[in-house]
Amino acid sequence: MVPKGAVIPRLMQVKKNKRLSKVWYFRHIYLFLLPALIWFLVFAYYPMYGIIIAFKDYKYNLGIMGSPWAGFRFFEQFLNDSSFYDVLRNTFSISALKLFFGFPAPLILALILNAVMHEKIKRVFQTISYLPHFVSWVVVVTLLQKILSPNVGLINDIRYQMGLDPIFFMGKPELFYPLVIISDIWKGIGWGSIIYLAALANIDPHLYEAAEIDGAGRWSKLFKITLPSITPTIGILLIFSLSGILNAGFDQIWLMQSPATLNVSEILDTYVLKTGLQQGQLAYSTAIGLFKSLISLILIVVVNNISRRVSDVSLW
Amino acid sequence: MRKYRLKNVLSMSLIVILILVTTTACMGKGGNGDGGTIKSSNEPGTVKDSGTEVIKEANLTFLSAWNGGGAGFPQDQKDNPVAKQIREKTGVTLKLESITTSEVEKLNTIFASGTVPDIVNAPFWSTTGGEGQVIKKAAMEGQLLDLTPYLDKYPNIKRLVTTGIAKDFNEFDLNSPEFEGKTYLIPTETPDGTPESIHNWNYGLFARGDILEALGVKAEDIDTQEELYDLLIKIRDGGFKDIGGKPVIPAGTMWNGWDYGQFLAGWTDYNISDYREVNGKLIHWTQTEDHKARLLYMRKLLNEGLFDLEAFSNTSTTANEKLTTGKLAIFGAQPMLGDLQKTLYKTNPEMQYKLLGPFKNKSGEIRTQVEKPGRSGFPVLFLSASIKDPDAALRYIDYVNSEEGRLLAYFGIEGTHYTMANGIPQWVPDVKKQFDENPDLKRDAGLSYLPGRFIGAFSDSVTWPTPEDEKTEWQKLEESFSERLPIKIIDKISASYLARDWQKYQEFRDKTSSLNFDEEFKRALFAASDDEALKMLDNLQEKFRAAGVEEMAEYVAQKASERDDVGF
Repeated sequence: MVPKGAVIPRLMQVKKNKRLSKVWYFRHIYLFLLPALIWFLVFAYYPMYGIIIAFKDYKYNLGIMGSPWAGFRFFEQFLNDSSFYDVLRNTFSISALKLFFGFPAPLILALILNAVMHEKIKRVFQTISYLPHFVSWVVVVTLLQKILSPNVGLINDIRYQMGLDPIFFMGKPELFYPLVIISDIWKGIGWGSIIYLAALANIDPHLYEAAEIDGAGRWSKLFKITLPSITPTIGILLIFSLSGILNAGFDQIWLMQSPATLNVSEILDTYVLKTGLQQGQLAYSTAIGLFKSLISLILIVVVNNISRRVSDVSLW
Repeated sequence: MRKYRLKNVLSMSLIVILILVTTTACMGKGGNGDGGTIKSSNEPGTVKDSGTEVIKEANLTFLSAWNGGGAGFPQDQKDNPVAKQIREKTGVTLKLESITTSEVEKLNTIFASGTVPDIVNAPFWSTTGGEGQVIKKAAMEGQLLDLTPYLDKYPNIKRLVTTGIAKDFNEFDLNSPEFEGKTYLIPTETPDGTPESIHNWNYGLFARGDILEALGVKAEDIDTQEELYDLLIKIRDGGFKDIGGKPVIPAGTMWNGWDYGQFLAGWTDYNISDYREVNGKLIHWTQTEDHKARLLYMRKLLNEGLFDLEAFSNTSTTANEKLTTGKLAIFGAQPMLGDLQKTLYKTNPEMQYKLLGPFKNKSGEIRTQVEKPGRSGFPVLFLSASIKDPDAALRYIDYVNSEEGRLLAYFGIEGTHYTMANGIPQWVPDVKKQFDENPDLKRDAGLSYLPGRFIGAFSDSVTWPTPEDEKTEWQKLEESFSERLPIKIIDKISASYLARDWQKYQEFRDKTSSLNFDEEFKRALFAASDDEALKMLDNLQEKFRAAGVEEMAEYVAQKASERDDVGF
């Protein structure tokens, strides 16, 4: 006679075997995960042990583990750094502006493209809007500099022909943020709209048909069907964006900043590079980087929790 | 079944490819590349049956850690005539690499990642800042090879580490007491120990000749800040054009604002230390009142459209573009003849730049290059601590610094490029003509990469003076600048070194390590108003005061008064 309690483990065993046999059946598909797993282990998890440098008085000859411990000295140093508030303020300002203007832009483009009925025109616009994503920031910023240069730039050439004085667009602190936001939107709007277009394509067309029968107009359909249907996608992307709010865009800012705009353009990432690679304070720069990562982690947890409570959207 | 097997094989192949692709990136050999590989199994010094010595072959990596340092590299690094000859003599083949970014960044990167090439040449101006500080740290932390045990074996290298170096720099920087008697660095581009061999770098302001002529201004007459300002106004309002017909920029510099200091030469003191005597008191250079005047003057130039607003963010490419199209009416730097002779001076010879002044400072002294008997700060060569064959690298450096090697480096192959007459090399006329007309041919023959980065304790112009009738137009022009820009030799120990014994010196260094005076000064140049700019400057100076700079200056003054060999 089988003891009562033995039924559940046996059932579990059966379930487990079933799962394993399912995995075995799809083993070729699962094997395709291997390169990605290796990639994550090698490039994302293995380098993480380097974080220890933030707590060490790092010496080349002693290596990461052999260097003497420094405790939280470098974190204290950063909090007392005269640049601390400026760097943090600039990072948050640029990120918040990018989020405010840059986050809805791909959604709006996706909605516009979705509304275009002519397939060919739609494809042409889509392709044109994707292209800037593949152009590196080096090229984009060089183009900006060429167009906006006070000496050889197109805009200032036109101003010169009109008898106006040249303007040093890239060197005006008050124009720095608008240029950063506009170029960021220009570069990323098309690529960012892909996910929204995919989400829009998944909306059941019957909903629109039913709404039309009920006499809904274009705006009603947008606000009553389209946007609610893609809310989970918008939510997930918003959570990701908020968690990355301290990533103000290293490549772009590094290339665009100059002594004239340094007061408004020095962000955490550029400061890490300067302290680490230019001043050779590797432990200090690691501490700044870790500080940034911790804030991002806290942000993603908080935002995810809030999102889960107020809506059904959450990452976990 | 067959279909299933095919599927299996295809899947596995695809996965293997993907894994290989993913892991390839982690399997790099680092900066050493194939550095230090030894092709021959023969040991150095072993003797063949025929009795001739066998030279061990080696491939080494070399990094010129200078922004734009690859300009002199030949297109064929391996088989140009000079490289081939050196390989025959030393068995060494170099793989040359250079950078187009910041020198400090590159050095920090190679040391932090443990990818130091076999041989590196980098700037070494001091051990208290910039590249020198990074190199010193790396040496003390085991990244550089200690050359002490090798020096007796390589007499030419030994000569380089002992010749043409200022006494104080040698004692406190090149052989810093913290190195504990070990030698890590080999100086290059140093003089041979005689005053004549000290190189004149010809820093100054250069103005387009045709513009000066059109304005009826003599270059020599512009030697004060006020005269320069007036000239710039005239240029701005004169409607002058570059070769493309676009308006000129009255004044500018090369990359990253190098060297805007030439526009402020009126406030330059020609001395050898970080300290200035003002009204009988010694002050650190960061505290001088002159900075206010310098700041306001530069701001005036920037705000009135007299100075290139992009000068401080110029890349080498954009700077070169401006220079070679005659876009800059006046530029501050060296004469830049290497770039100009191939471009602007060919197409528009009338635009040839003329040296202004030389400038006078507020004491009436003209623009002077200050030197000690021997150089303070120079490029240095060092070897990676992990080099596989240090003897190969040292053999190479020693050879190119021998008499034979130097002839090869500067003149190439005897019979092909030059002939000897009375012990002096003479260019083969056809070769000289080709090289003069197209300097790239000289570079590709391998005649441009060794002198600056591998050779020291030497002056080619002193050893092999070029006869007057053989000098190129550009040599004559460079020399005409040198004649007007004097060199002053101060045979004293720099007062800066006295501060190192100050009890709080390390504390001061820690507090000011993240302060970059020049960068902050540049920021102030673009402040919204003069008041704000002066406030930024004052804040900066206050940070140095808070770190104890005044107390340090007092200590230095007291120590300097106790001896008579200290100079400011």
